[in-house]
Amino acid sequence: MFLKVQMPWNVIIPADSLDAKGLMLKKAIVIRLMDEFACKKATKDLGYFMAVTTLESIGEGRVRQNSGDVLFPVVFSGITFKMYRGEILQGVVHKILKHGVFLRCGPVQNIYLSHIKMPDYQYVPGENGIFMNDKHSKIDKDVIVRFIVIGTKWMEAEREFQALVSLEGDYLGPVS
Amino acid sequence: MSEKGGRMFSLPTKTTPKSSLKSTAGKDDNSAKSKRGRKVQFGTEGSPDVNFSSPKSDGKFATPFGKGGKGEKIANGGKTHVAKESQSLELRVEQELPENIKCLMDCEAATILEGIQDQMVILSSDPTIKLPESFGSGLQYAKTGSYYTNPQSVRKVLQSLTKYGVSNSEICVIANTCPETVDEVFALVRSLEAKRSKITGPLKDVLDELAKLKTST
Repeated sequence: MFLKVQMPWNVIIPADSLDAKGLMLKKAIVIRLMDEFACKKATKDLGYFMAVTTLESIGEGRVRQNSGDVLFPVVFSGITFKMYRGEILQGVVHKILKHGVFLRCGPVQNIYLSHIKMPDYQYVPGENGIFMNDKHSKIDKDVIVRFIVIGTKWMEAEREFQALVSLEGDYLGPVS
Repeated sequence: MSEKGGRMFSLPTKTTPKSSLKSTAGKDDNSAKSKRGRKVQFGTEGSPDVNFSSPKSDGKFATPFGKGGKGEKIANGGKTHVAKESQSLELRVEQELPENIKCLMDCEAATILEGIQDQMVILSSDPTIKLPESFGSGLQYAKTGSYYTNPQSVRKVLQSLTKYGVSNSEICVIANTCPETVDEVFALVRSLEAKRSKITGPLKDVLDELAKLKTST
Protein backbone atom coordinates (compact mmCIF):
# COMPACT_ATOMS: atom_id res chain seq x y z
CA MET A 1 0.00 0.00 0.00
CA PHE A 2 1.03 3.60 -0.26
CA LEU A 3 2.59 5.17 2.79
CA LYS A 4 3.02 8.77 3.79
CA VAL A 5 6.33 9.02 5.58
CA GLN A 6 7.94 11.83 7.46
CA MET A 7 11.65 11.43 7.73
CA PRO A 8 14.87 13.23 8.47
CA TRP A 9 17.51 13.62 5.81
CA ASN A 10 20.93 15.26 5.62
CA VAL A 11 21.31 17.43 2.56
CA ILE A 12 24.85 18.40 1.69
CA ILE A 13 25.26 21.55 -0.32
CA PRO A 14 28.61 21.91 -2.03
CA ALA A 15 30.46 25.09 -1.31
CA ASP A 16 30.13 26.45 -4.82
CA SER A 17 26.33 26.62 -4.48
CA LEU A 18 26.64 28.84 -1.46
CA ASP A 19 27.63 32.04 -3.12
CA ALA A 20 26.14 35.50 -2.73
CA LYS A 21 22.78 34.34 -4.08
CA GLY A 22 21.61 33.59 -0.57
CA LEU A 23 17.95 33.44 -1.57
CA MET A 24 18.60 30.46 -3.76
CA LEU A 25 19.71 28.36 -0.83
CA LYS A 26 16.30 26.83 -0.17
CA LYS A 27 15.92 25.99 -3.83
CA ALA A 28 19.34 24.33 -3.80
CA ILE A 29 18.37 22.28 -0.75
CA VAL A 30 15.08 21.18 -2.28
CA ILE A 31 16.69 20.22 -5.56
CA ARG A 32 19.46 18.26 -3.86
CA LEU A 33 16.91 16.52 -1.67
CA MET A 34 14.78 15.52 -4.63
CA ASP A 35 17.84 14.37 -6.49
CA GLU A 36 19.06 12.17 -3.67
CA PHE A 37 15.54 10.90 -3.06
CA ALA A 38 15.19 9.97 -6.72
CA CYS A 39 18.52 8.13 -6.75
CA LYS A 40 17.63 6.06 -3.73
CA LYS A 41 15.19 3.71 -5.37
CA ALA A 42 13.88 1.96 -2.27
CA THR A 43 14.65 1.01 1.30
CA LYS A 44 13.76 -2.06 3.29
CA ASP A 45 11.72 -0.18 5.88
CA LEU A 46 9.88 2.29 3.72
CA GLY A 47 9.54 0.54 0.37
CA TYR A 48 9.81 2.17 -3.04
CA PHE A 49 10.25 5.94 -3.03
CA MET A 50 7.57 7.70 -5.05
CA ALA A 51 7.80 11.43 -4.44
CA VAL A 52 8.64 14.18 -2.02
CA THR A 53 5.52 16.06 -0.98
CA THR A 54 6.55 18.73 1.51
CA LEU A 55 9.65 20.07 3.17
CA GLU A 56 8.68 20.37 6.82
CA SER A 57 11.75 22.04 8.24
CA ILE A 58 15.35 22.91 7.49
CA GLY A 59 17.74 22.81 10.40
CA GLU A 60 20.85 24.82 11.04
CA GLY A 61 23.61 24.20 8.57
CA ARG A 62 26.88 22.74 9.75
CA VAL A 63 30.06 23.37 7.84
CA ARG A 64 32.01 20.21 7.18
CA GLN A 65 35.61 20.54 8.10
CA ASN A 66 37.46 19.11 5.16
CA SER A 67 35.40 19.98 2.14
CA GLY A 68 33.76 23.26 3.04
CA ASP A 69 30.36 21.83 2.14
CA VAL A 70 27.45 22.62 4.39
CA LEU A 71 25.25 19.92 5.84
CA PHE A 72 21.61 20.81 6.46
CA PRO A 73 19.48 18.43 8.48
CA VAL A 74 15.99 18.55 7.00
CA VAL A 75 12.68 16.88 7.75
CA PHE A 76 10.39 16.17 4.85
CA SER A 77 7.29 14.20 3.93
CA GLY A 78 7.07 11.82 1.02
CA ILE A 79 5.06 9.00 -0.49
CA THR A 80 6.38 5.47 -0.70
CA PHE A 81 4.95 2.11 -1.72
CA LYS A 82 5.41 -1.09 0.24
CA MET A 83 3.74 -4.49 0.18
CA TYR A 84 2.72 -6.10 3.44
CA ARG A 85 1.82 -9.66 4.33
CA GLY A 86 -1.92 -10.12 4.40
CA GLU A 87 -2.55 -7.21 2.07
CA ILE A 88 -4.88 -7.48 -0.92
CA LEU A 89 -3.46 -6.06 -4.12
CA GLN A 90 -3.91 -6.30 -7.88
CA GLY A 91 -1.15 -7.18 -10.28
CA VAL A 92 -0.68 -7.73 -13.99
CA VAL A 93 0.64 -11.06 -15.27
CA HIS A 94 3.79 -10.66 -17.32
CA LYS A 95 5.25 -14.17 -17.45
CA ILE A 96 3.67 -17.63 -17.32
CA LEU A 97 5.55 -20.79 -16.45
CA LYS A 98 4.42 -24.34 -15.87
CA HIS A 99 4.50 -23.99 -12.11
CA GLY A 100 3.37 -20.46 -11.61
CA VAL A 101 3.11 -16.96 -12.92
CA PHE A 102 5.00 -13.74 -12.41
CA LEU A 103 3.15 -10.52 -11.84
CA ARG A 104 4.01 -6.90 -11.43
CA CYS A 105 2.19 -4.50 -9.15
CA GLY A 106 3.13 -0.85 -9.18
CA PRO A 107 6.89 -0.57 -8.82
CA VAL A 108 7.27 -4.20 -7.69
CA GLN A 109 8.33 -6.25 -10.70
CA ASN A 110 8.96 -9.67 -9.21
CA ILE A 111 5.84 -11.13 -7.70
CA TYR A 112 5.46 -14.89 -7.86
CA LEU A 113 2.20 -16.79 -7.72
CA SER A 114 2.78 -20.51 -7.52
CA HIS A 115 0.38 -23.03 -9.08
CA ILE A 116 0.00 -24.50 -5.60
CA LYS A 117 -1.48 -21.22 -4.49
CA MET A 118 -3.94 -21.10 -7.39
CA PRO A 119 -6.66 -23.45 -6.23
CA ASP A 120 -8.55 -25.13 -9.11
CA TYR A 121 -6.37 -23.59 -11.80
CA GLN A 122 -4.50 -25.95 -14.10
CA TYR A 123 -1.70 -25.21 -16.49
CA VAL A 124 -2.84 -25.48 -20.09
CA PRO A 125 0.25 -25.98 -22.22
CA GLY A 126 0.49 -24.50 -25.64
CA GLU A 127 2.49 -22.02 -27.62
CA ASN A 128 1.60 -19.53 -24.93
CA GLY A 129 0.72 -21.48 -21.84
CA ILE A 130 -2.04 -20.25 -19.60
CA PHE A 131 -3.73 -21.26 -16.39
CA MET A 132 -7.40 -22.06 -16.49
CA ASN A 133 -9.99 -23.40 -14.08
CA ASP A 134 -13.18 -25.44 -14.53
CA LYS A 135 -15.23 -22.34 -15.06
CA HIS A 136 -12.95 -21.32 -17.93
CA SER A 137 -11.55 -18.39 -16.01
CA LYS A 138 -8.15 -17.75 -17.55
CA ILE A 139 -4.93 -16.40 -16.14
CA ASP A 140 -3.07 -15.23 -19.20
CA LYS A 141 -0.52 -12.51 -19.95
CA ASP A 142 -1.70 -8.99 -19.19
CA VAL A 143 -4.60 -10.30 -17.07
CA ILE A 144 -5.19 -8.37 -13.86
CA VAL A 145 -5.27 -10.65 -10.85
CA ARG A 146 -6.30 -9.83 -7.31
CA PHE A 147 -4.17 -11.65 -4.74
CA ILE A 148 -3.20 -11.76 -1.10
CA VAL A 149 0.42 -11.24 -0.12
CA ILE A 150 2.00 -14.17 1.70
CA GLY A 151 5.39 -12.63 2.19
CA THR A 152 7.92 -10.15 0.89
CA LYS A 153 11.68 -10.16 0.63
CA TRP A 154 14.07 -7.28 0.41
CA MET A 155 16.95 -7.79 -2.01
CA GLU A 156 19.75 -5.56 -0.83
CA ALA A 157 21.93 -5.87 -3.91
CA GLU A 158 19.23 -4.98 -6.40
CA ARG A 159 17.50 -2.62 -3.95
CA GLU A 160 14.12 -4.06 -4.68
CA PHE A 161 11.44 -6.25 -3.18
CA GLN A 162 10.21 -9.62 -4.28
CA ALA A 163 6.91 -11.01 -3.15
CA LEU A 164 5.08 -14.29 -2.87
CA VAL A 165 1.33 -14.18 -3.27
CA SER A 166 -1.67 -16.47 -3.22
CA LEU A 167 -5.16 -16.80 -4.61
CA GLU A 168 -6.39 -18.94 -1.74
CA GLY A 169 -9.47 -17.26 -0.48
CA ASP A 170 -12.75 -15.87 -1.63
CA TYR A 171 -12.91 -12.94 -4.01
CA LEU A 172 -9.35 -13.53 -5.23
CA GLY A 173 -8.34 -14.28 -8.80
CA PRO A 174 -8.60 -12.63 -12.21
CA VAL A 175 -10.66 -9.46 -12.28
CA SER A 176 -12.51 -8.24 -15.30
CA MET B 1 14.24 -35.91 2.92
CA SER B 2 11.04 -34.44 4.07
CA GLU B 3 10.95 -31.82 6.68
CA LYS B 4 9.24 -33.04 9.77
CA GLY B 5 7.00 -30.49 11.27
CA GLY B 6 9.05 -28.01 9.39
CA ARG B 7 8.65 -24.46 10.43
CA MET B 8 11.00 -22.99 7.93
CA PHE B 9 11.98 -23.22 4.36
CA SER B 10 14.35 -26.04 3.64
CA LEU B 11 17.03 -24.65 1.45
CA PRO B 12 19.84 -26.30 -0.42
CA THR B 13 23.44 -25.39 0.29
CA LYS B 14 24.85 -22.30 -1.29
CA THR B 15 26.45 -24.13 -4.16
CA THR B 16 24.24 -22.70 -6.81
CA PRO B 17 25.59 -19.52 -8.30
CA LYS B 18 23.83 -16.38 -7.31
CA SER B 19 21.35 -15.40 -9.90
CA SER B 20 18.43 -13.11 -9.99
CA LEU B 21 14.92 -14.38 -10.04
CA LYS B 22 14.40 -13.32 -13.64
CA SER B 23 17.39 -14.99 -15.18
CA THR B 24 16.80 -18.42 -13.81
CA ALA B 25 13.07 -18.52 -14.17
CA GLY B 26 13.28 -18.85 -17.90
CA LYS B 27 15.83 -21.61 -17.94
CA ASP B 28 14.64 -23.40 -14.92
CA ASP B 29 11.37 -24.95 -15.68
CA ASN B 30 11.16 -27.39 -12.89
CA SER B 31 9.28 -26.42 -9.86
CA ALA B 32 12.19 -24.69 -8.25
CA LYS B 33 12.07 -21.03 -7.67
CA SER B 34 15.25 -19.08 -7.27
CA LYS B 35 15.75 -16.38 -4.84
CA ARG B 36 19.29 -15.20 -4.42
CA GLY B 37 20.60 -18.38 -5.89
CA ARG B 38 18.80 -20.65 -3.51
CA LYS B 39 16.21 -23.00 -4.83
CA VAL B 40 13.00 -23.84 -3.14
CA GLN B 41 11.36 -27.05 -4.21
CA PHE B 42 7.62 -26.90 -4.32
CA GLY B 43 7.03 -30.49 -3.42
CA THR B 44 7.80 -32.07 -6.76
CA GLU B 45 7.80 -35.48 -5.24
CA GLY B 46 4.15 -35.53 -4.62
CA SER B 47 3.70 -33.43 -1.59
CA PRO B 48 1.37 -30.66 -2.59
CA ASP B 49 2.09 -28.54 0.39
CA VAL B 50 4.60 -25.87 1.00
CA ASN B 51 5.50 -24.09 4.12
CA PHE B 52 6.68 -20.63 3.28
CA SER B 53 7.27 -19.33 6.69
CA SER B 54 6.86 -20.07 10.30
CA PRO B 55 3.43 -19.08 11.48
CA LYS B 56 5.12 -17.57 14.48
CA SER B 57 7.28 -15.36 12.39
CA ASP B 58 6.03 -12.29 10.69
CA GLY B 59 5.80 -14.20 7.48
CA LYS B 60 8.56 -12.45 5.64
CA PHE B 61 11.10 -14.36 3.66
CA ALA B 62 13.77 -12.50 5.51
CA THR B 63 13.27 -14.64 8.55
CA PRO B 64 14.27 -18.01 7.13
CA PHE B 65 16.72 -16.63 4.62
CA GLY B 66 18.42 -14.35 6.99
CA LYS B 67 19.14 -16.84 9.71
CA GLY B 68 20.84 -19.28 7.41
CA GLY B 69 21.62 -22.02 9.78
CA LYS B 70 18.56 -23.66 11.08
CA GLY B 71 18.55 -26.93 9.28
CA GLU B 72 18.24 -25.49 5.85
CA LYS B 73 21.08 -27.40 4.33
CA ILE B 74 19.01 -30.00 2.58
CA ALA B 75 20.10 -30.27 -0.98
CA ASN B 76 17.67 -30.53 -3.81
CA GLY B 77 14.92 -32.35 -2.18
CA GLY B 78 13.43 -30.32 0.55
CA LYS B 79 9.85 -31.26 0.97
CA THR B 80 8.00 -29.13 3.39
CA HIS B 81 4.65 -29.25 5.03
CA VAL B 82 1.98 -26.68 4.74
CA ALA B 83 1.43 -24.44 7.68
CA LYS B 84 -2.10 -23.21 7.99
CA GLU B 85 -0.87 -19.87 6.82
CA SER B 86 -4.14 -18.80 5.31
CA GLN B 87 -5.39 -18.41 8.83
CA SER B 88 -2.46 -16.30 9.82
CA LEU B 89 -2.46 -14.11 6.69
CA GLU B 90 -3.83 -11.22 8.59
CA LEU B 91 -2.92 -7.66 8.10
CA ARG B 92 -0.56 -6.66 10.84
CA VAL B 93 0.72 -3.49 9.29
CA GLU B 94 -0.02 -1.30 12.28
CA GLN B 95 2.30 -3.28 14.46
CA GLU B 96 5.14 -2.84 12.04
CA LEU B 97 4.74 0.83 11.29
CA PRO B 98 6.69 3.40 13.23
CA GLU B 99 4.90 6.56 14.27
CA ASN B 100 6.08 8.78 11.49
CA ILE B 101 4.43 6.62 8.86
CA LYS B 102 0.78 6.65 7.86
CA CYS B 103 -1.08 4.40 5.42
CA LEU B 104 -2.70 6.03 2.43
CA MET B 105 -5.57 4.83 0.34
CA ASP B 106 -4.86 4.37 -3.36
CA CYS B 107 -7.24 7.18 -4.26
CA GLU B 108 -5.49 9.57 -1.86
CA ALA B 109 -2.09 8.62 -3.26
CA ALA B 110 -3.38 9.01 -6.81
CA THR B 111 -4.54 12.56 -6.07
CA ILE B 112 -1.20 13.53 -4.56
CA LEU B 113 0.91 11.91 -7.27
CA GLU B 114 -1.21 13.39 -10.07
CA GLY B 115 -0.74 16.80 -8.52
CA ILE B 116 3.01 16.30 -8.52
CA GLN B 117 2.92 15.12 -12.12
CA ASP B 118 1.05 18.27 -13.14
CA GLN B 119 3.68 20.38 -11.44
CA MET B 120 6.45 18.44 -13.12
CA VAL B 121 5.18 19.62 -16.48
CA ILE B 122 6.09 23.14 -15.39
CA LEU B 123 9.26 22.14 -13.57
CA SER B 124 10.63 19.89 -16.28
CA SER B 125 12.17 22.89 -17.99
CA ASP B 126 14.80 22.70 -15.26
CA PRO B 127 16.95 19.64 -16.00
CA THR B 128 18.25 19.36 -12.45
CA ILE B 129 14.84 18.35 -11.13
CA LYS B 130 14.04 14.71 -11.49
CA LEU B 131 11.55 12.21 -10.16
CA PRO B 132 12.23 8.76 -8.71
CA GLU B 133 12.09 5.96 -11.25
CA SER B 134 9.22 4.28 -9.42
CA PHE B 135 7.04 7.38 -9.76
CA GLY B 136 5.51 6.41 -13.10
CA SER B 137 4.62 2.85 -12.18
CA GLY B 138 3.38 3.94 -8.76
CA LEU B 139 1.16 6.63 -10.23
CA GLN B 140 -0.28 4.23 -12.79
CA TYR B 141 -1.05 1.68 -10.10
CA ALA B 142 -2.68 4.29 -7.88
CA LYS B 143 -4.88 5.51 -10.71
CA THR B 144 -6.04 2.05 -11.78
CA GLY B 145 -6.64 1.05 -8.18
CA SER B 146 -8.69 4.05 -7.20
CA TYR B 147 -12.41 3.76 -7.73
CA TYR B 148 -13.51 6.89 -5.95
CA THR B 149 -13.66 10.46 -7.16
CA ASN B 150 -13.38 12.13 -3.79
CA PRO B 151 -10.79 10.68 -1.41
CA GLN B 152 -11.71 13.05 1.41
CA SER B 153 -15.32 11.83 1.47
CA VAL B 154 -14.17 8.23 1.36
CA ARG B 155 -11.82 8.86 4.27
CA LYS B 156 -14.60 10.55 6.22
CA VAL B 157 -17.01 7.66 5.67
CA LEU B 158 -14.45 5.04 6.65
CA GLN B 159 -13.24 6.99 9.69
CA SER B 160 -16.50 6.06 11.41
CA LEU B 161 -15.18 2.51 11.66
CA THR B 162 -12.23 3.52 13.81
CA LYS B 163 -14.38 3.69 16.91
CA TYR B 164 -14.98 -0.04 16.53
CA GLY B 165 -11.27 -0.73 16.62
CA VAL B 166 -10.65 -0.91 12.89
CA SER B 167 -7.11 0.22 12.18
CA ASN B 168 -6.01 2.72 9.56
CA SER B 169 -4.35 0.04 7.45
CA GLU B 170 -7.54 -2.06 7.45
CA ILE B 171 -9.49 1.01 6.36
CA CYS B 172 -7.04 1.52 3.50
CA VAL B 173 -7.39 -2.10 2.36
CA ILE B 174 -11.18 -1.76 2.41
CA ALA B 175 -10.98 1.39 0.30
CA ASN B 176 -8.46 -0.15 -2.11
CA THR B 177 -10.45 -3.33 -2.71
CA CYS B 178 -13.76 -1.49 -3.18
CA PRO B 179 -15.91 -4.30 -1.79
CA GLU B 180 -19.57 -4.64 -2.63
CA THR B 181 -20.73 -6.80 0.24
CA VAL B 182 -19.92 -7.22 3.89
CA ASP B 183 -18.91 -10.84 3.22
CA GLU B 184 -16.32 -9.62 0.75
CA VAL B 185 -14.82 -7.33 3.38
CA PHE B 186 -14.46 -10.12 5.92
CA ALA B 187 -13.07 -12.49 3.28
CA LEU B 188 -10.41 -10.01 2.17
CA VAL B 189 -9.53 -8.28 5.42
CA ARG B 190 -9.14 -11.35 7.58
CA SER B 191 -8.00 -9.44 10.61
CA LEU B 192 -11.52 -8.01 10.95
CA GLU B 193 -13.04 -11.44 11.49
CA ALA B 194 -12.54 -11.15 15.21
CA LYS B 195 -14.77 -8.10 15.32
CA ARG B 196 -17.39 -9.49 12.98
CA SER B 197 -20.37 -9.23 15.28
CA LYS B 198 -19.51 -5.69 16.31
CA ILE B 199 -18.95 -4.11 12.94
CA THR B 200 -21.24 -5.94 10.51
CA GLY B 201 -23.98 -3.35 10.92
CA PRO B 202 -21.83 -0.21 10.66
CA LEU B 203 -19.89 -1.81 7.81
CA LYS B 204 -23.07 -2.30 5.79
CA ASP B 205 -23.87 1.40 6.16
CA VAL B 206 -20.33 2.36 5.22
CA LEU B 207 -20.44 0.21 2.08
CA ASP B 208 -23.75 1.78 1.05
CA GLU B 209 -22.20 5.23 1.44
CA LEU B 210 -19.10 4.22 -0.49
CA ALA B 211 -21.20 2.84 -3.33
CA LYS B 212 -22.56 6.34 -3.86
CA LEU B 213 -19.04 7.74 -4.04
CA LYS B 214 -17.78 5.34 -6.67
CA THR B 215 -16.75 6.64 -10.06
CA SER B 216 -19.03 5.46 -12.80
CA THR B 217 -16.65 3.83 -15.23
